[in-house]
Amino acid sequence: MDSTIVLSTPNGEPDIWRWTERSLNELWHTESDTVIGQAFMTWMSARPSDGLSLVGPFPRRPTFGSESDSIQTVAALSDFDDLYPPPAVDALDIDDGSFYVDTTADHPDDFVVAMPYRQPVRIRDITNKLTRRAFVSDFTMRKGHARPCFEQIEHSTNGEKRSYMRILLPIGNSDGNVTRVYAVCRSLLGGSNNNDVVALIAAAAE
Amino acid sequence: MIDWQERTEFSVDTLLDIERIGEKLGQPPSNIRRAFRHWSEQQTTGFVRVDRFAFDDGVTYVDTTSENPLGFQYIQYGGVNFLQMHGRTLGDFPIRQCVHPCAGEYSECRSSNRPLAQRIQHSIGGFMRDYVRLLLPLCDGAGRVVMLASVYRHIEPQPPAQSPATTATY
Repeated sequence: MDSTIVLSTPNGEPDIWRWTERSLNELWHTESDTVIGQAFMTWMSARPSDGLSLVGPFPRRPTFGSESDSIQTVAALSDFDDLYPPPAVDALDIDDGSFYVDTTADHPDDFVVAMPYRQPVRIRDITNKLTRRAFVSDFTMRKGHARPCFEQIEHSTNGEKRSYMRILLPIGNSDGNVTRVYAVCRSLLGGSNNNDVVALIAAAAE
Repeated sequence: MIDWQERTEFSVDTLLDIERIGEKLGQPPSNIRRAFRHWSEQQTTGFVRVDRFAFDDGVTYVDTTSENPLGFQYIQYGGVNFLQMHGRTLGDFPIRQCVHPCAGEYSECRSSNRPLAQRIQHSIGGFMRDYVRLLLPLCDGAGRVVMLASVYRHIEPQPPAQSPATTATY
């Protein structure tokens, strides 16, 4: 599924944000040695299997299992939605290659974006209209559906272009509610991490 | 066929100009122009009270009192399909790909208290739709947006140009 939002801007060049959905099966083959694959495996290993308790601590950098393990794991995901609570809040540590959004607020404008080495910002304080709207859509959906979301993202805002793979990983509290969503990105425009993506978000909030 | 959607936002003035074309051809004013005119006439102190807005021509009303956009409730569903959405919430909508952008658009309209005009094109599950839509915010007495009126008009597909081969007589 390709989704594109186009917003006209005063300077004439429209802002564009495009999501291209990717399957988790594809992730298994294309991201096994990237920050996205590592984050996904961490998330999977931290996910409670009995649906009742939360787990931790867990390994920072787990390795991928055998191919048969991976098939079973991916197949299990199809049963995940709404059946099990998401992993505990401390399941992932933020680092240079990721940011997270605190989704404890009821109103999505009050969700807080936490980026490494930067002051956290509320979504309502992101000045770029398209970035703000995309964040409301993305993180409202992840809060409501506690399952991973793997996509290719392309956007052009304020004349700045970005293209990257991104996985959103919901994290929960003891009640099973999604209180935090990690965004782990891998730039497709060169570079091995998403510092440029994080910087762009930070700039949009200034 | 790969599912896709494209949602292009433009100014309300641009949308009203587009809607005026039919009038210039002698057609009655479109429901979008009539809804916006009514909305503008009811505007008093920077907002339109929900109890003063009375428009019922193919309009969808969305209750936005829930903090979470997935909890926005369709009080009246004016769509052609999915009539079962009447009384249900955005989060209940059966096509997740539509819920995702609508969450942002409805939330933006509620937060900004300003109309939002778009052309929406999509092909999902083999169904293609092409329409223009205007979201109008409606407020309670305190100026808080508690309802959205969504008015839309389908864009009729243009007949394919006939090639010489299909129009030739033998």
